[in-house]
Amino acid sequence: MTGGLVRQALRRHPWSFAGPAVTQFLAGAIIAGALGGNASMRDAVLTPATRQALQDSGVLDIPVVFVLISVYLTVLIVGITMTTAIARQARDIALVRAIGATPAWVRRAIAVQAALVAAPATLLGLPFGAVLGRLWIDGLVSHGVLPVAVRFHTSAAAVPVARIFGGVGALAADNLVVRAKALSGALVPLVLAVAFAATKVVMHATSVAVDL
Amino acid sequence: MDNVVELAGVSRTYGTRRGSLTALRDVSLAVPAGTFVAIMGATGSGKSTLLHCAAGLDRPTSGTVRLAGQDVTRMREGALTRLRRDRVGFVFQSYNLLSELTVRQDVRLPYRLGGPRSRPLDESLAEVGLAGTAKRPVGELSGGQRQRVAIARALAGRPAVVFADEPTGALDPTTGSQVLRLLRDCVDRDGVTVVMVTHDPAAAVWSDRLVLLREGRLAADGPTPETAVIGERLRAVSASLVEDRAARA
Repeated sequence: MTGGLVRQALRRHPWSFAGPAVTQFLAGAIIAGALGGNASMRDAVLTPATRQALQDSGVLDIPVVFVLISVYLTVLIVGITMTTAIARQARDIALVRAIGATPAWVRRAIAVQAALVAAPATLLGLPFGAVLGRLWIDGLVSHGVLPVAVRFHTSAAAVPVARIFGGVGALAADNLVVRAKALSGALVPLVLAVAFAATKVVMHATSVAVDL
Repeated sequence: MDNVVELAGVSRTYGTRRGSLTALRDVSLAVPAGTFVAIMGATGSGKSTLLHCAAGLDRPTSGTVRLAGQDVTRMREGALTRLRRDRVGFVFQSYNLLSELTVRQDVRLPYRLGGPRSRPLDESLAEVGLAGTAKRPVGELSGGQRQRVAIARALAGRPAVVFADEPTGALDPTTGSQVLRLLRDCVDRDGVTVVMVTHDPAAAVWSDRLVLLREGRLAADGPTPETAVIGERLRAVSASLVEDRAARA
């Protein structure tokens, strides 16, 4: 039951959630396009020599680089914009804390806000990314960078990957704000660095899973 | 009569960039159940700090605070939050309502946070003169009506004590009197304890007992006199403060 604070935040400060929503939309789009591109190259029926040539040219690494960049940006920008959105609710959070909301309740309310903003934004971004991915792969094929056997198709991993990294950003924001009193300015970069490192670990695990 | 609020030797010091600032100095105060206490003093005398420490919103640097029979100075944060939710009502100067909610949602907020079952909503609203407004958004109400909603919310869970911080500070005198009448009725009719911080003698006169603070110390504590006498006492405290500061300078 976190409806009071969630309703208040979304109605009173709707524009403060534009940042996280746009970031999630773009992240969803880039991740959908890049993972789709990666899956399309991986699943294409190619001769060993052609695949080796693609490997040597570095084309197969491009989707991974796109995903990495978008993951870093998603975590950082969602974290920063959600921090701003939460900071604008400082007065309302202080009120509910005074009349009996526990820190865990406030955290749940913020998580619900993040989910309500991120879920539709990510879902909207995925088809947009699929279109961009198709244009990208078709462009590479038409320019002879990729063989004609490579045909774009979407990747089922896009939805969980986009959600995970948006969630990491929102979680970082949540912890930064709710624990703000316990965090000195010097600790903020540390928290971001931990989030950054966690991203690398999750990304590595994801690429291993995709490879499998 | 049991004391609902008890402060013993309470001091509160804040760290600042220039050093430390002591807002409360060795304050001891006991508030029996069913009384209406007004706390007054000049700006910076420690009124709000006293209220925040007594209500469990802030922890004293030294001394003990007992609220509804429990020592809040040693209480863990979760237990203190639950105590505030279940046994304390708050009324603030700036209403502190969630303006995008309806009257019903705001009044029932402590219950939605897991607090004790509220009194029937219609009863709560009728008591503060807001019958029929349950579905109206709080943001559409006047200042006086919002403060009534805040009082209804404070009383909804049948609290042991209501803390009011300048409850009439943002209201015109007529509306302010109506709000004070409501608080007075809660004390007389339901036996609720009210601790109110105010700078206004016309508001303090509604109380049973007047506590005056001066530079974080208790300067006076006794039955509430008439408005004119309250004003005289406040002026006397302020004058002695100015003299002391001049002497120190």
